[in-house]
Amino acid sequence: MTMHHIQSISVTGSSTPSLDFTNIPQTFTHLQARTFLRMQASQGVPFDLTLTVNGANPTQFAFHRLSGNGASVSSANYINDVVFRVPLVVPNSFHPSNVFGAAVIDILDYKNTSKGKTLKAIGGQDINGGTEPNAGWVNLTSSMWTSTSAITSLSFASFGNFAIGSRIDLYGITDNPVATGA
Amino acid sequence: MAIRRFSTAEPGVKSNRFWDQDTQQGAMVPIGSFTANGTQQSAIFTNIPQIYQHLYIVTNLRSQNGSAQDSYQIQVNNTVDIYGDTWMRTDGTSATSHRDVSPYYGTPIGNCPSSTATAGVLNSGTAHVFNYASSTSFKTILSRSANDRNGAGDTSLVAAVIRTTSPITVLHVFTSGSNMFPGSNVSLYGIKAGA
Repeated sequence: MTMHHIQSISVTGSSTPSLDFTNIPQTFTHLQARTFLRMQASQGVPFDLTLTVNGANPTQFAFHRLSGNGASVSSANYINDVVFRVPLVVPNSFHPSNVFGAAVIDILDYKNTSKGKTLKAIGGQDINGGTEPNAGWVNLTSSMWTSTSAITSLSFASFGNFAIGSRIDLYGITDNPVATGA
Repeated sequence: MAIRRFSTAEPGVKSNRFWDQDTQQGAMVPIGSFTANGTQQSAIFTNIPQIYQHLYIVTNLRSQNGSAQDSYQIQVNNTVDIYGDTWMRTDGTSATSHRDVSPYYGTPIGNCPSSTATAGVLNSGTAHVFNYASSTSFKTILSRSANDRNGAGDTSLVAAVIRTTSPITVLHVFTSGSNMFPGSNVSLYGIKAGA
């Protein structure tokens, strides 16, 4: 099993509300996104990261999270969502400069047309102190999409515009030793 | 590194087949590996190539601190007092979260078995260091650690910050309380973002 780079998108301007991966090659088995993000807006609690699939927002998504905020552990779930959701992984201008949240997001069997899609993620950020809930968070997330459609595009967004320096790297995981389609 | 091989299978024709070793390896490329002999507390990686986007660390650790458990940490660029971390951890009885504010020598990212734990048991840990070569942002670490001792131990998830905009060129992974147990292993990989 090998991991191959598909595409990277980094933010260099001040008006970037989404990072869009289109025409995702259908030659891999799984997808992995590595996100390094910060928003320009301001809110004490870090923002969620959302993933719109194939350009549409049907009410076919759900998520669960298990989170630590430096003081306590909490959990949450949500059904009838319109996106994949990775909560609490995007800090913003409320938080210290130069701090970016990170996540490793896996979507297994993304092109399989016989099953729904499940996303699993670890993510979070630390700001070296602060007062919860407006400080560091670390999260374990699952998110599901009931559709059997193959995933051909993913649009990552949060709240407002991404900060300069944000980036997402998308990878394909394959059983083949040689990269294909990327 | 690229290798060109010229085939002369067809008389009078030289075909040029380009084989890129890095492409063959995929996006995860080994940088180095360390195995402890019992006299070292740190796995040290120096002159880390600045050609990758992220780093990935894999640990299989046991300490010799005289207790059942020890923590392990990351330090970069031989620099202290630039760290912070948030933990979520369970020991099989309760789930807790805590924060380390300005940990001095490095940032703790997981726990491992130690001297009095059942023999032959080591931790399994992975840590992602994002944007390690950036000269404009702090670095974020996500670490998962499994430290199961058959009735004791814990599993944890950590988010940490390295509060420097300097690129990471040196990386220490070390057990907090004492030397690593012989056979403990740390492997470092680069994650590419591009060809």
